[in-house]
Amino acid sequence: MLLALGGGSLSALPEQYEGQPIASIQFDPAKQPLTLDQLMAMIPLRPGQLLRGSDVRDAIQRLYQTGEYADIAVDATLGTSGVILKVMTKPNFFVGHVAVNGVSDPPNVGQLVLATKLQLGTDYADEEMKAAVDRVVDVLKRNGLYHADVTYFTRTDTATQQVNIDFNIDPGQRAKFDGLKTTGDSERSPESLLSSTGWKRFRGLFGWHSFTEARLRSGLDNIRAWYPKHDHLLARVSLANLDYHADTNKVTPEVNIDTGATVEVRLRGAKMSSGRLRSLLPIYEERTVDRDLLEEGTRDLAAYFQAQGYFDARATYSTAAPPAGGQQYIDYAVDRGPRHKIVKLEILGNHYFDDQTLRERISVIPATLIRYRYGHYNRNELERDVDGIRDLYHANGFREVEVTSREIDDYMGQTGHIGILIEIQEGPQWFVSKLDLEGVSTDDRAALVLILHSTQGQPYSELNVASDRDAILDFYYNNGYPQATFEFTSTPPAEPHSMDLKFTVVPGPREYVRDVLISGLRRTQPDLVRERIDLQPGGPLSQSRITGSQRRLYDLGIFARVDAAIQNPDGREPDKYVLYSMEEAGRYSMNYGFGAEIGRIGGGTTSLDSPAGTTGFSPRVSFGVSRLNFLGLGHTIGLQTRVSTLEQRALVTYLAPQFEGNANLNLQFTGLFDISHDVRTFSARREEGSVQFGQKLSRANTIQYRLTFRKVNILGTPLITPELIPLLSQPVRVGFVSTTFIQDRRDDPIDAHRGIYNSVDLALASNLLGSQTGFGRIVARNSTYYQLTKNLVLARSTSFGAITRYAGLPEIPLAERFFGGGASSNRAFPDFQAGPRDLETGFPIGGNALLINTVELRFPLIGENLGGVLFNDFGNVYSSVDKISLRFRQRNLQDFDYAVHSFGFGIRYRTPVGPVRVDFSLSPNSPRFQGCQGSIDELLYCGVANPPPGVAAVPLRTQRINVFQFHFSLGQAF
Amino acid sequence: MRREVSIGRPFRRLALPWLLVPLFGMPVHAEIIDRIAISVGNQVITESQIDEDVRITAFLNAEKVDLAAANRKKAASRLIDQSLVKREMEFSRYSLPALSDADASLAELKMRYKDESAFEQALAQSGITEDGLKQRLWWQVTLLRFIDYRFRSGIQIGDSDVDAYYQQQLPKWREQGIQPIPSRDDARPQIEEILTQQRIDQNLDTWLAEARTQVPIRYLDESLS
Repeated sequence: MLLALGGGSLSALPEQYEGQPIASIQFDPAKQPLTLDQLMAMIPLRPGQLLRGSDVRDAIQRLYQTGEYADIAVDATLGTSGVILKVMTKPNFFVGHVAVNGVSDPPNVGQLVLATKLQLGTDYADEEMKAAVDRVVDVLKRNGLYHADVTYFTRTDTATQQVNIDFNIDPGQRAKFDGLKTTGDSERSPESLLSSTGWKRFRGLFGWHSFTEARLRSGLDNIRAWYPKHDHLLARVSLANLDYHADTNKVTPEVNIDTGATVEVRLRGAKMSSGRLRSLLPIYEERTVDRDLLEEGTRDLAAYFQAQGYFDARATYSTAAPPAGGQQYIDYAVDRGPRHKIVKLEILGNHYFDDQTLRERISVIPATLIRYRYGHYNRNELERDVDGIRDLYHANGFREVEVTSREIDDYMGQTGHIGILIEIQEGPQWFVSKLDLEGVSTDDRAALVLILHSTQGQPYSELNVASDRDAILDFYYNNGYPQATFEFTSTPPAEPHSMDLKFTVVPGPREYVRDVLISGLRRTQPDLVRERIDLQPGGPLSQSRITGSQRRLYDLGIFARVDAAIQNPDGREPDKYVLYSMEEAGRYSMNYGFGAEIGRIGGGTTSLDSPAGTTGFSPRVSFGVSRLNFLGLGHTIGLQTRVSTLEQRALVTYLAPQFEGNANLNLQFTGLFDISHDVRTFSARREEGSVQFGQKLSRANTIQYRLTFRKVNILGTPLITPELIPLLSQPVRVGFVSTTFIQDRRDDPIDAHRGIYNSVDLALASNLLGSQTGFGRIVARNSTYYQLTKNLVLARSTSFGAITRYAGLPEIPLAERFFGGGASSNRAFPDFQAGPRDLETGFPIGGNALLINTVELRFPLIGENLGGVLFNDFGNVYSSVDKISLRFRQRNLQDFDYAVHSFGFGIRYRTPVGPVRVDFSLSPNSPRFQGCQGSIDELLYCGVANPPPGVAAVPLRTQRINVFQFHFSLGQAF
Repeated sequence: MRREVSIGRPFRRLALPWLLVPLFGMPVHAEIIDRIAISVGNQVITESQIDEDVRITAFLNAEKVDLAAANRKKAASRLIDQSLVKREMEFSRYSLPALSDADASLAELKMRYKDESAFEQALAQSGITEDGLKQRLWWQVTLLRFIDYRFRSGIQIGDSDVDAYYQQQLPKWREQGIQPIPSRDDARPQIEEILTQQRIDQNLDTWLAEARTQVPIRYLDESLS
C-alpha cells in the first residue's frame, strides 16, 4: 500500500534507461544478509522486464523495510542486451551484548546496562554511543562516583551484523557526605535534621557514609517522615542541589523544606482512634493533601463502617481555609446510619449453576459467629457481583439471562436484619451449531480444535469467541506467524437458539529462526545454555519458545540477567536471529541466621529425671555458603552449618540441576556430619554420605533414587536399661539403597485446600552395601484435602512405617528406629516422645513400626489472615508391625503399643512463607510409664529396693506424658 | 500540506549523482539511478522522489522547475510529513479511496489548458506523466480525507468560539461593504467549518511536530537536513 501511495509512474529514470530491458541484477557486496532467492522474491525487478523508475523505488523501499540495510543505492550500466542493475547495500548493525566492567556496586551492572538504553537486537548507531556513555556517567555520579572514567569499545561481527559493546569503568574514589544544607523553615534544628538522615556513621563517631543514591533518597525520606507525624501533611521536602566539593571529594546535599500549614483531621459523627484514622486515610500514607485523596478517604471511612455493619454509612469531607500561616482543618463527617446484620443470602432461579458456584462469585457474606459478626455487604460490590454472574451465564450461552438483586430490610420482621435475594431468569441456552475454520491448514486445524471453546455443540457466547480469537492468534504467533489476522462471522441457522460460526484466519508470511546468537558467557559452558534453548535454525520463530527458553536459563540460577530478543524486530524479512544475552550472577552466595528453639527439649543428658522432657531453650546459629555455576556447568556446591545446644551439623551438597540438560532430572551428592541430641534418650554423632538421583515424572509425580552410607556413634551412655547399653551404644555403619515416590496433587503445598499427597519410601540395608545390619524399611503417607465450603477445609493424613531386620546386628540400631510425636506427628506427644520406652529409665527407645492418623478441620477465624483448626490425632510408634493396635486403653505401665489420641485446637496466622502455627492438644490416654529419678551413675540401682550401703535409693516413679501439649511451628501439620 | 504547489522542467537525470559516487565507489561507466535520501522509521524517501515532488509541485503551481537545494529541502520536509501520516494510516488500518476519486481534480486541472495537447506538452516540459500526476492528486485526496478523519472527531466548537469569530469578522465585513451582513445564526455553519479547519490544521501541526520527535528520521543526503 505504502509503495502504491508514492509510486505509480511518477518517477522518470535517466532517459537512456527508462523502458530498457533489464539484462541482469546483481547485489554488491555479493554476501548479503538474505539469500539471493529471498532478495529476488522481495523486489519487483526481474531480468527481461522493462526497467521502470517506480520499480527501482519499490525495490529500495522493500529492501529497506527488511531492516537489514543502512543505505541502498541502485546503479545502472547500459549494455548490449539491456540494463545491468547493481543494488549496492550497506548493512545495518544491531546492538548485541552490552557488558559493564569494573563497576563498584552501587550502581549494579543491571542499572548501568539499563542506563545505556542500548536495547538488545535494536539498531546500533555510533552516534548514540556518546549519549550512552553520558547516561552511564550520570548514574555513576548519582552514586558518588564523580571521578569515574568510562570508556567503551565495540566488537562487530559482520556475519551476524551484531555489535557487542563493552563499557569499562574506572570508578575512582566514591564521594562521601559531609553535611546538610537546608533552606526554608524546617521547624527542626539542623542537628536533628542531620541526625534523621543517617548519613553519619554511628552518629559521626566514624565519620560520614559514602554518598549513594539510595542513601540520599533514604535520608530525604527520613526527613519527610517526620512532618506528617507532626500534622504537617502539606510539608514539601525536595532536593534543591547537590553541592559537590571536588577538592575534598565530598557532597553536601541542599534540601528545601516547606513545612506548610499544620493540618488537623477531625472526625465527626463517629468515634475512631487516631491511630486507626491515620492508617485508614490515604493522606497520611501519601503524605499529601489533594482532592482525590480526600475523596478516597471518604470511601475508605464508609467502607470501614460498612464492614462494621453500618451498611448505609456515608462519609463526606470539608476543609476550612486557614488564615495566613494558620492551622488547616479537614473535617470528615460520617453518617453511619443504623447498624444492620446480613442474615440471609438467597439465590433463586438458578438451574444451570448450583448455589455453591454462584456464591463463590458473591461478595455478600451472611453474619457468622466470630469472623463476620454483622456479615459483609457493600451495594457497589453487589452490583459488580451481579454483573459477574451475568457474564458467567453469558459465557455459557445464556444470552438472554436476567440477573437482579434485591435487598430485604427488616428480614423476617427482625429490625436491622437484612436479607439479600439474587434472582436469576436464565432463559434459553444458545449453542454453536456449526464451526467453519477458513484459512487453516489440516494440521493446524487438528491442533486448534483442541483449544477452541466455540466448537460444534458447545455453548455460544461472544466471550467464548473472543477467547477463541486470542487462542488462535496466540497459536499462530507462536508458530512464526506474527502478522496473523482473525475475523469471524456468526449466522443464526433455522433452528432456534443456535449459531453458525465462521472463523477466518489469514496467517500471513511465516517467519523463521535464522540462528540463535548467545552472548555474555564468561565462565559458563556454552553447551549448558544451548541445550536449554528450544529454537533451531530454520524452525518457526515462536515467541513462546523464546520466552520458555529464557525461563529455563533463569531456572539454572546462575544468571543475574537473561535478555532474549529478536534482532531487527521490526524488519520485514523471512528469517531472523534470536539473541540471548546473559549476565552471570556472582559465584558465591552466603547466608547466616540466628534463632532459638523453645519446647520440651530440656533435661540433662546424664539426668534420668525427665524422660518426657522439660521445657527448654536452645539458641542456634547457622551459616551457609554456596558456590554457584561450578566449572561453568550450572552445578552448585554448598556448605550449610548449624550450631545449637541440641545439635552441631555440617552439610555439604553438590547439586546438578537439570541434569544432562533435562529439566526433569537432577543429581545430588550429600555429605553430613551431625552431632545431635534431639531424641532425649541418647546423643549421637552421625557421618553420612549419599547420592540421590531425582526424576520428575510429571507435574505431580516425582521419584528419587538414593544410595546412602551412614555411621552413627552413640555418644556417652544412652539413658536406657544398663543391660542394653553395650548392645545399643555401639557404633553402627549402615549402607542402604532407597527409593521415594511422591505424588503431589495439592492446590497449594504450603496451605492446601484440596488435592492429594502420597509418598512411599522404600529402603533396603544390606551387607552387600557395607552395612553392619540388614533391614528393610517402608514409610508411606497418604493425605487428602477436601474443600467443604468456600472457607472450610477437611484434611486428613495417615502415615505408616515398618522396619524389618533380616541380617546383621540382633537389634535395629537406636538411630535407625522410628521416633514420633510432635508438631508434625501425633500432637499428644512432645517431639520424638511417642512409642516404646525403656522400662527402667522411661526414656523413649523408638520402635519398628508406626501408624499415625490425623484429621483436621480448618476454618477462618478473624479477618483474612487468622484461622483456626480442630484436630484429632491418633496412633503411635509401635515396637513391631504385628503390635500395631488401635486399642484406646493402655494395659499397663509396660504397654506402649496402643493408639494414643489427642484432641485439640490450633490457631494459624497466614504469612508469606506459610501459616505460623500454634496447637493446643489434650490427650485423654497419654501413656504412663515408670522412670527413675537420679543421675545416670545411679542407674544401676534404679528401683532396687535395698541398695548397697552407702548408695542412695533410686526410686521408680510412675510418670505420664502431660495430657496437655503445646506446639509452635511454621506451616500446616501436613 | 494543501498549500504545496509548484512546476518544473522535464526530469532528465537524478540530482546530485556526483555526491553518491564516493559512497559506493561506483565504476565510472555506471550511473546511480536512485538511492535513499532520508529514512523515516522503516520507510524511505529516495532522491528521485524528492526531485519528482519538486517537479510536480512546480507543475501544479504553473511554475518553472527549479531543483535548487532550497526547493529540494522543502520537498524533503513535505515528504517526511507525508511519510509520518502514511505510518499513521497504516497503524489505523485506514481504508484507501479508489484511484478514480482523483478524476475530478485531474479534470479541473486540465481545464487550465486550452486543449489536451497543451496539457501534455506542459507535462512533458515538467518531466512527468498524466498517470503520475493522477497518482499525486489521488494521494492529496487521500491525505486530506485521512487528516479530516483523524482530527475532526476530537474538535468541539462552542458558542463562545462562534461568537468571538463573528464579532471579529463584523468590522471586516463592514469594511468590505458586504451587504446584507449575515446574522450570527446564518453564518454559524460556515464559521463552525472555518474554525474546525483551523483547529484541524493546528492539531495536525502539533501532531506532526510530536511525530517528528518520536519517529527516527535519518538524513542520508545531508544536503537535505
